[in-house]
Amino acid sequence: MIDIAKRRMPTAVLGVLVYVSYCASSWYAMRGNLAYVGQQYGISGWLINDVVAFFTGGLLPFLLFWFITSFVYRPLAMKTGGDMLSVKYGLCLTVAVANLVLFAFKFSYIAYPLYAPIVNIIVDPAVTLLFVGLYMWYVFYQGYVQRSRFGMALVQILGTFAAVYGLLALFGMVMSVA
Amino acid sequence: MLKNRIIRFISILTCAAVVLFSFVACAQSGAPEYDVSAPKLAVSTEKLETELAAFLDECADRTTFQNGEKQAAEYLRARLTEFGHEPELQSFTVEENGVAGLTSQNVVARYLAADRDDDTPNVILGAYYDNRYSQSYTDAKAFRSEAALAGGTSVATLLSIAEYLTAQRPELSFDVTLVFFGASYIYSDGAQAFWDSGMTAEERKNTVLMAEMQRLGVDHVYAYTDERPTAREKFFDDVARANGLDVYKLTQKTPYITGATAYEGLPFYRWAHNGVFGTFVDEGIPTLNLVGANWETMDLTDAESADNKNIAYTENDDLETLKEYHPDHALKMATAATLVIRALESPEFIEVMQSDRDNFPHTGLLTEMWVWYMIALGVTLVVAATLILVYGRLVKKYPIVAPQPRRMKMAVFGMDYEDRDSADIFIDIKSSVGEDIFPGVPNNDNALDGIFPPITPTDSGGDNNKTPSDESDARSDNDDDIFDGKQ
Repeated sequence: MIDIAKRRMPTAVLGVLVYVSYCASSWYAMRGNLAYVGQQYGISGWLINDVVAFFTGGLLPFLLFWFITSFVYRPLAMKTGGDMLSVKYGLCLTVAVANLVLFAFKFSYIAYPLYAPIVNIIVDPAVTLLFVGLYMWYVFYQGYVQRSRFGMALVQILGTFAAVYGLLALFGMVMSVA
Repeated sequence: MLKNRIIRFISILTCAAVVLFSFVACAQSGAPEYDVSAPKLAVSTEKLETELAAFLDECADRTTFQNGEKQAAEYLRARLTEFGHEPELQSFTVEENGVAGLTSQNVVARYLAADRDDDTPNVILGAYYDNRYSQSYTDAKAFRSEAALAGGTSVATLLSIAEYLTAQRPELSFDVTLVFFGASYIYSDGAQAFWDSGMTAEERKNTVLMAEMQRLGVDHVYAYTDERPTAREKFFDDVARANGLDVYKLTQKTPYITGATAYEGLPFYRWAHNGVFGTFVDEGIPTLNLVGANWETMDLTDAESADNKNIAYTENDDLETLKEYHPDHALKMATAATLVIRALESPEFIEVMQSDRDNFPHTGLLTEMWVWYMIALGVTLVVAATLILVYGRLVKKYPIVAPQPRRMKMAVFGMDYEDRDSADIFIDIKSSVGEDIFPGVPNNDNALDGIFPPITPTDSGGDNNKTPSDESDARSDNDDDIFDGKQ
């Protein structure tokens, strides 16, 4: 099996890649948010455009991802040992790929814009969790973490993703009925 | 090294920006794909300019709920009467922002079908005529402008259609109801009041289309029907094409604002959803929104123009500014009026509208966002449950073996007397050091004869009665001998 952590790109480049991938997957929704904010607060039109929407759309999700990953990584590395650095590296790549897949998928919204908000709500967490799940399967067989400690790593990593998406869904549900 | 990193960083961002610009640049335009250089207009631009100027001159202050609005309503009634209609003023009372007892009025005129019965279809053409020149009530915002673009151009366009109907007297198989909505500059009070009490039950049942005109005169005229597939979209496209009208359609460039909705059945909001026609969409009536805007640029806001800033709903919304920013505003008004007139006169018109009314899409479930969030929550719960199962299986299959603490012990009597399977670490003293534990000192196996000679029992029989001190005394005597050198 290919070891994706063998030839690592620098952390800064990886960070930029993840950020750009979040920008791409959040672009569609951010267009509307930015347009609304610009119209509501009378912000000049030249600031409210697709380019600004692209680069601002990924900011919050990227910061959230980077913060949570760093927060989870250190205690997890202490508990499980193993090559957690490679796990973290691969996770970043996985998330970047998942986001790019989502970006490509969202072009279908051009054909079916009516269903875009609904699909967005469901597809985003589903695709990301699928990719992260597949990646953890890869980690298991690659042996980055001892098998006896792998369960712990799986719960922490995939569980964190599921918890964040679950909270977002819950929040959205509450706001939609409020 | 740092330089390479910076170059890589900039390269990635540049690629992203180039790809993005390419997508935006190649995005579909809403412009008509036919020749619009010679439109066949049904009304003249000069007439429209005259109508607009006269209206604004007479009714600059049309402040909602105030005397100015009432005077504007009277002006409109008078104009419609001059055209040959029999208009009526429909007063209503509303509450707005906690202020009760606010009165306004709609101005309604009907152009009836040649042959009518109880099932004669009805088409509503509407525009709002009020503004917020001054304060409508305490704490209400005043815009201090005559709303030339926000309401004036639409009123003038609707008046020109009203004039056309009575002047040309087309024979229609349906009624046309012309409504000038009051109290609709900010909210849709007039439209709601008209639906609730300004129409009979039959009229409500028979209404097949509501067409609104608003903000006409800026860069483009957009004809917006619905996000959902409709027959009337193609119908209006065909009418526009047949008459060479420069009418735009909405494209993906106009953003979808999720988390908000203008009316039932759509899970998002777009700039074309602004307007009083939403009241009729909520009642299942097919609609047409003829709105002036420019949604073809990279600007994602509700822009009127690519070259000028917005003037509607600002203090600059007056005729002079309109003429300065949009010198061809009358052409846009005429375009909208022609589209409506030619559509009404089309033989396929009523059939298409009736079909859309009968097949009005009900997509209310799409706006029940809590359902979709619940599904998303369900997905995460399924993942969480799978996680728990997998974790349990992994723990069972690959248990964590806790290392036992290992102690260091000395195998004093050799390993033969120790548990070799024990986890402890043993130091086998006997095997490692041989016979002499302490070099120079005889080990335990040999008695320390030289120091402690063996004890010999004596006849006194009192050996057994000898006390240790007696024995030591005996030894002491020997010691004396030793030290005397006699041994």
